[in-house]
Amino acid sequence: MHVSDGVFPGWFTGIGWVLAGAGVWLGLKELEGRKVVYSALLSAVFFVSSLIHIPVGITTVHPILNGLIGSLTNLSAFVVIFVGLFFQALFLHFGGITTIGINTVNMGLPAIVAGFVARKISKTGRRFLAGAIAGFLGVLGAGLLLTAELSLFGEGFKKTAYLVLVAHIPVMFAEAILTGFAYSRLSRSLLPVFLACLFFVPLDSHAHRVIGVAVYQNGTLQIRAMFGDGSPVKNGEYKVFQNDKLVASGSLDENGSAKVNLKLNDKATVEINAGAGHKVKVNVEGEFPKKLPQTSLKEVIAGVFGILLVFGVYGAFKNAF
Amino acid sequence: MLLKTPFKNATLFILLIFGISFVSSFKLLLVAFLFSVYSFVVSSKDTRKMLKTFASISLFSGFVSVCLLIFGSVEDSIRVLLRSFSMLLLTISLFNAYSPVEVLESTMRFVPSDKLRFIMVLSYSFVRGIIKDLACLNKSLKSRHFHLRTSVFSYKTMAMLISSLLLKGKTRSEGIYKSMIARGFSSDPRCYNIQANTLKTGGRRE
Repeated sequence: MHVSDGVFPGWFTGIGWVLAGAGVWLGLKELEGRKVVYSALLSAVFFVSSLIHIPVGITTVHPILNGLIGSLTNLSAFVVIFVGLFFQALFLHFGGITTIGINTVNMGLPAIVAGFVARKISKTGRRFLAGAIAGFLGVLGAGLLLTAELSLFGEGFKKTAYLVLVAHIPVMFAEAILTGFAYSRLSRSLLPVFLACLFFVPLDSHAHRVIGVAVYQNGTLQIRAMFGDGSPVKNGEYKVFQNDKLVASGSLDENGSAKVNLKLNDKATVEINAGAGHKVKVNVEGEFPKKLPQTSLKEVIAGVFGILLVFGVYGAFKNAF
Repeated sequence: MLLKTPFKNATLFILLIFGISFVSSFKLLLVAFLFSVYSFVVSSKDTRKMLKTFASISLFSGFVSVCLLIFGSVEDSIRVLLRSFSMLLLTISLFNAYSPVEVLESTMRFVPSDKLRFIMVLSYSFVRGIIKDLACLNKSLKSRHFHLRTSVFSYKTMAMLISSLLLKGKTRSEGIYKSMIARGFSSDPRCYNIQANTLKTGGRRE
């Protein structure tokens, strides 16, 4: 299924790179938080699965798994497949360096379609069927795209393309069975986390993490707060504590920042409340005035008498001898 | 290799490979093919292994050129063969001169997105663990006298093996994600810089 280097002319592989770039860009926009790590994991599994050889009749093939990836991801399937193919081209020399773009498009587009169909079917509870159809559609789509691409370059290429498609028919069925079982197992054991949470529901834990900074400089406390994606905490509330006592409170402005004139020491903390349970407590950093020793009147009198006593004792000894 | 650093050589070879893909003139293709054979011979350490690799990766282009010879024109067939073989030979020469990690590091510099580069690095770190897991699972299958055949049972077993790799990797990736956050890395490469009071890219908290 991997188109090798040199089969297509340069301009065509260039188009492949442009299309793959667009797909990867869309996929990257979808990836946030844990999804980044899990897409890396899927890429690694996609790459390693090419080391597994499965017998199909007289020959052996390696699982393509684009249907499975499509059913576990959305647009990020492009990213997963691109990274997997990049590693395959680099470490195993499958396909080639110039054809990574065209191969990404050939496998990524059917993966997205197969994933969409699989999710629709899996809602009815037929998980094996959903996976099997995703696997079948993944390979069929990739084969059809390859056939269409080869057919663009003349009659000789067209007949070659048909042969390539026919050669992949047994692979489609093998992939369908494989993806069907894998999808039914994964959806059963990882449904609450892997599928339902990690790929289809945005992760609040990272996207709404509040980052707060409080800097004290020249008698002014500067507070700034933002969410994990960089957007400011608009009109959030802040409270300044010093030695566990509330010394100031107020609201942040539209840019998520505030300035307060205060006298603080290094034990001050700021609590920022962004609403809906998103709170963060940060220590105030910056330049604090040095602490002067606090002396009471009793200590001063005692000190003076102490000095007088020393001089008195010295004078008495001097007169005596 | 022509240049000193792996990055420069990788850049040169990748540009050459891309350049050859645009060539359609026979004379130029022949020159490119001769150059690639020369670089293949010069960089070869283990010729037999390299020829084996070449034979395995040139199957598709060989198949296409044979089909073109039968169904299409001889010109197209030779053009595809020369172009494809010269590109593949250059690729093998590059990988023979440097380790795959060096080439990966060099090629990753061309990747414009921080996030994509981050995914690539993470994925590479996962690969080793997954290969180890795969070896363990293969061993356990062999110890149970399992033989792969064209049967539903075999496919089911392999499907379970692949899903086991994903499940095992999931636990590992969760740990990696947590340690990444704990060390100040963010999966979103934007992080806060206290001194500059700005968000900075690069995946590391300043």
